Amino acid sequence: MKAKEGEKAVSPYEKHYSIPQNIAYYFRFYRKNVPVFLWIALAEILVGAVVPYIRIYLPKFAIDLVAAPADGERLFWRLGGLGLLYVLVQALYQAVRESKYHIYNGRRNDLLSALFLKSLRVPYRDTERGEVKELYQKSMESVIYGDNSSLYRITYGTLDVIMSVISFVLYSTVLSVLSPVVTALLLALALVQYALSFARIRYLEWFRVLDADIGRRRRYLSNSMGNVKAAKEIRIFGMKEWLKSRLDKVFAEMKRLEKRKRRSENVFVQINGALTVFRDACAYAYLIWQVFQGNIGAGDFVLYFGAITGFSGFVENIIRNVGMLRQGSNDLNYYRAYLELPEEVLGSESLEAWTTGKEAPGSESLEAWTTGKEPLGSGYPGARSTGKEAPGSESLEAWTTGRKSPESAYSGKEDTNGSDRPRRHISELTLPVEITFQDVSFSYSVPNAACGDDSKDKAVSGQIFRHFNLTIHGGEKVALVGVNGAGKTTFVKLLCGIYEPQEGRILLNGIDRREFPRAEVYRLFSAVFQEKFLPPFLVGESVSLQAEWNEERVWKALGDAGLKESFTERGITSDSYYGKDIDEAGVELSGGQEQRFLLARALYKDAPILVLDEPTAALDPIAESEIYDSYLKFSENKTAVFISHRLASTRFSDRILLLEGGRVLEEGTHEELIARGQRYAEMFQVQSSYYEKSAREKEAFS
Amino acid sequence: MIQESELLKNLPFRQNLNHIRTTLGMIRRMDRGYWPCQAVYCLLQTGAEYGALILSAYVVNGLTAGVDFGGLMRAAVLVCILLGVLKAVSYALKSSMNIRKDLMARRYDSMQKEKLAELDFALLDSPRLREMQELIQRNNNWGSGIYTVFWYMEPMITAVLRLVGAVAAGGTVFRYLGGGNTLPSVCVMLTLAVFFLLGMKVVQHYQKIGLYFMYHFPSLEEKKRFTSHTWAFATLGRYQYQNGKDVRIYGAYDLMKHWTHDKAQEKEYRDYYVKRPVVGAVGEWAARGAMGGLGTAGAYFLVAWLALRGGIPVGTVILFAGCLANLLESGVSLVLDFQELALACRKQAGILELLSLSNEMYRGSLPMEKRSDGQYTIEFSNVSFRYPGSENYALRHFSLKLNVGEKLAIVGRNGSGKTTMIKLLCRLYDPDEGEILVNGVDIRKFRQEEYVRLFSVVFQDFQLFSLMLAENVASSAEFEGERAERCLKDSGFGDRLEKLKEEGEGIRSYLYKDYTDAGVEISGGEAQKIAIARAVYKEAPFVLLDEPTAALDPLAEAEIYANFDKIAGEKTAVYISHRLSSCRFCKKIAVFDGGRLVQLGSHEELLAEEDGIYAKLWNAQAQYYQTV
Repeated sequence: MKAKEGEKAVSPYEKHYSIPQNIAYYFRFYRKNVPVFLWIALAEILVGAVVPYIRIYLPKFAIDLVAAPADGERLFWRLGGLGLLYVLVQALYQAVRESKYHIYNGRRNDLLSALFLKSLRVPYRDTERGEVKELYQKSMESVIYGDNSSLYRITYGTLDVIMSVISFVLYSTVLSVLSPVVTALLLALALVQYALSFARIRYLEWFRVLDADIGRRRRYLSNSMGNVKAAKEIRIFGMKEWLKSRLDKVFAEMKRLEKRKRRSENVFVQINGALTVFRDACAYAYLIWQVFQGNIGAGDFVLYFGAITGFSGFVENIIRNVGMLRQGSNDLNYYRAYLELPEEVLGSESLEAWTTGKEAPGSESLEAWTTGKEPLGSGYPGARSTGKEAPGSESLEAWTTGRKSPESAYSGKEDTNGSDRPRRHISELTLPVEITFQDVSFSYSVPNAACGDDSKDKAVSGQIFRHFNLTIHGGEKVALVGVNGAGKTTFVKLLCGIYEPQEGRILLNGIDRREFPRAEVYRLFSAVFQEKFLPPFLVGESVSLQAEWNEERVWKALGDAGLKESFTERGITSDSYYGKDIDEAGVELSGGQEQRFLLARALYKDAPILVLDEPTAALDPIAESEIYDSYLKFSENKTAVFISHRLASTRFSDRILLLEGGRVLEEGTHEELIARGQRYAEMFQVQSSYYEKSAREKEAFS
Repeated sequence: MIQESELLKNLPFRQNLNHIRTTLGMIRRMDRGYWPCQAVYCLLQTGAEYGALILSAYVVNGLTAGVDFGGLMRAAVLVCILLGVLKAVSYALKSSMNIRKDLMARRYDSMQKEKLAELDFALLDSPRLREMQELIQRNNNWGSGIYTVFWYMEPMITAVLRLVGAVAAGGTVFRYLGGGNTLPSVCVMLTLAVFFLLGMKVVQHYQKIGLYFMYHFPSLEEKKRFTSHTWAFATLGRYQYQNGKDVRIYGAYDLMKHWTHDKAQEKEYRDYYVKRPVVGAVGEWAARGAMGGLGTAGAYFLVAWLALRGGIPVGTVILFAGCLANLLESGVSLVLDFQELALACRKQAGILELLSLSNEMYRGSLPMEKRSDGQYTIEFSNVSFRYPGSENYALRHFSLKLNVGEKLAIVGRNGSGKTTMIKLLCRLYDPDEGEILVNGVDIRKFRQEEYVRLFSVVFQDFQLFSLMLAENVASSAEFEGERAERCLKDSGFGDRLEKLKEEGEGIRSYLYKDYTDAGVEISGGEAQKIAIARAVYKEAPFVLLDEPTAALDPLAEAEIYANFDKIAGEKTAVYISHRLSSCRFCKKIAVFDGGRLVQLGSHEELLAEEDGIYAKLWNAQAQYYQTV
């Protein structure tokens, strides 16, 4: 919409490639990934156009044979030959069509994986934006719904339009032998019918928004009723009636809408039908007249009549497929818009370095890690067995990134923010690392740097940090406290380099973070976030999050996290599957064990800075205490930042920061802050009052 | 339950027929008028087809036999108009059928979900049902679910009608075939028959291969080799965008690429998923195409050959050839489409089984005594319980009595049976041993829907719906606005409510954006407050709170605690929390361990047992708060 308004900056969330451009896009896709498809498509077009042509000659040849027995033998063989050809062509046509189906269908997977991997390459902040999430959803839907996917619509639409046009032309040539005037009239009628059908399609397209909305509501209500997670409440609060009454209303609405839609559609269909009856009657009259005039014989009568009545079929086909192309093209534009979003620039080594999955610094030597002399192995798992890139991955890379120039221009601007490209390496940093926030401002409502439109994320709007200054010293343990919405999680994301500040700088040992490749900055952190990421991979992969892992270190990490014993008992190896997605006997963990598993991941990476974003909310006190002890033990010599609602954790830290409204309201040790008697003391008091009272009682007891 | 591999077995015709009958019956129950509509539509279409065929035969015969121009013309135009009317009616029918079909397909989907909402929770949460649902989903991965049934029914009905039409309109062709010199006729017919039968064999062979690879149930070994997580991840089923933080920080891009892209590019993967099914399917369709071509071309050839031997007028050649071609094509269609239809129906069997599932829990008929004074006592008497499919007891020989107005806190380690006790109390499950008594009566004897009215619950994993705020609080489409507002304020949602009022919709605001884009986003803490308000609104005599403050910050938590009395009032309340400080609201604290009740008493009493679990739990937290 916006882009249509004119010269304003075009939103990167919308693309307006034309239908031919989008057809070209998918055929390039086929050429790159399954070149044989182009031959199959060509074969289908040729054969498909010829099938109906042969079909109308069959009765003519049969009648010619019967009507002129004198020329019997020749006509007999002519009919036989045509019949045989028809059998062959039909067989070929169906085979080719079926192959096409399987090829297109099998390749949707590639489109989907390209989309997904792209979502891992755009800046994380962008993936949180409402528009980007919506765009992802639409792009995904344009791929996953089989015969409603954009790939289906464009593949089938294109080929069917070409075939129908060729058939149309072939039939016209048959008829033009009879009479150019009649052919012209028929063409005119075809145009009228085309216009009518096109109007019908446009009319139905108008309903698409309503359809989508009502469909979404129906799906939501139905799925809610079947949602196992909500099942307890549905039963105890008797919510079924509520949801059902809502659903019934939606169905009633849907019925009304469908009726309205079909009633109007029927008008178009009936007019078209009447025109066809009119045409057929005229055709009979004209052809009978021609026979009586002696211009044509019975065989030709049948041939021409077949050609005339076949006409409308092709017109219908063209219309239907043009409609399909329009919709496919529209859906593909979402997909292309997503694939063309600016990508995160990971630094001088850029994507390659990142994606080779260079292992995180090994526990064996922090020294080795600081000198940065690790072997740069190919992280591709296939490399283990085949020693080369997976077939097709290269083409995917090129294919998904598309045209490179405009995006790299974008992201370059965004990332370097005026400075040059990263030229330092984290190997230059001495451990432990000191982090400084210098005059940092960050706001969720600041739009994507690459485009000019506003973020509509109201829930997270507003400036979180404003000229924020803070230094976390090397080796310091810092606890971050504050009420919900104080900005703690935002702070963590800025800290790890997942967010980039809009103003100000973040320094690592006094050096601007942007001077380091971002991929290397990420390597500085072992972080545990609130949302557990426990993918259904092999246990070794899940611990290391690398395609290749060090067996010894995996077990050491699992051991330090307190999982080794139970894993060994249960016969779990690093080659076991996590979760039951693939193997029924896959590893499943309880809530507490999951936290330990995430701890193992942080231990395995053993990065110089540890960040914990409230990882123990659902744990019982003893488990919580144990986990904290483990983290503490392991964070020796490291810089560490903890977030927790439970003030207990703050007691471990060298310094407590109380965040409120994006500012450090209070800071100091626990004792200092208690002594100060302000906000922190108040919060602590609230939580500890009961415990303290008991402490006094306890003293009294003893 | 039908296993996937069984789909491939060649079922006896009768059994196939049974599946088809059940499925069609289900569709009839959803919409009585649909099949009659479909039949009339097919009849009109077939009628129009034969009408056109007879007309062209008549016209050609007339032309060659020299009927008068005017008569021929009138007949042609008249029949054209007649056929036009037939078609107009059939278009209208089709249009109505399309509406009915779309609505039915959606109703069908919704019916399954509604059924899930009706099942006993224990059944819903059982491995059996999960298996059933997984199978349903797998069976509907290929094809278009119930639409497939519609797709194959239409050609089946049409084929039958065309067969009838072919015999009625062109049956005399057989007289010609049988007449005259019999030997060549028999030879020609035999040759065609042999071709036809051979062709069918080939088609069926490939059909089987195609279906096998499409629906074959992979072994564990195959799953390991050929699983790519592209769909699970990309459709956000097994991955959330928030996981992107870990992917970036841990440099997991390569690993993600391996599982979502590279694996699916390997040659053996492609052979397995694409090449093998294609061989069968392409073979089937090539053979089908050849059969279709043979039917049409062969019919013209045969009839022309007959006509040459004399006795058949030129126009009738068209009629006979058309009928013969229809005869063959319909035969092919009946045989092949029957297989597909039977398969499509067999794939519905899982859903039909789900829909006909009946609850197994005993349902008593005793009315629940309604007491305005809330005088109820609850007693767990020697209760033991194992989750279905689990070997370990979640609760073991568990006994506990809860008196009117009492506030009970339950503490214990993760997995000690706290939430299980709540679930048993609400009769989401029945105990394996022992019984739960309310006012001395086994709860199984009460009417279930009346019994659950006794409880207001806030579950650990509470869920809100993306509908109106007030509806969520009232758990109903009808709500008392003021009461809902009061409850929201009591649970600490007041500030946000004021803001929502300023924004316009107030308690009529929709939550989240799943249902409508106009919905408002709320934070986890706010959601928790709404869940608490919902429990308050219900005004049930028992209040059960399972970790109701886990997502709240200390101040918000304190606020809830402060309102605890308002929430629980004079009611009997059970409170589960990992934050032991909350226990201090309750006079009585029950400590669970390994499914047993190990300690019961007041805070002071329990703390006095220094080796007890309570003391350990308490100290694990309290140590941080006590001035050293």
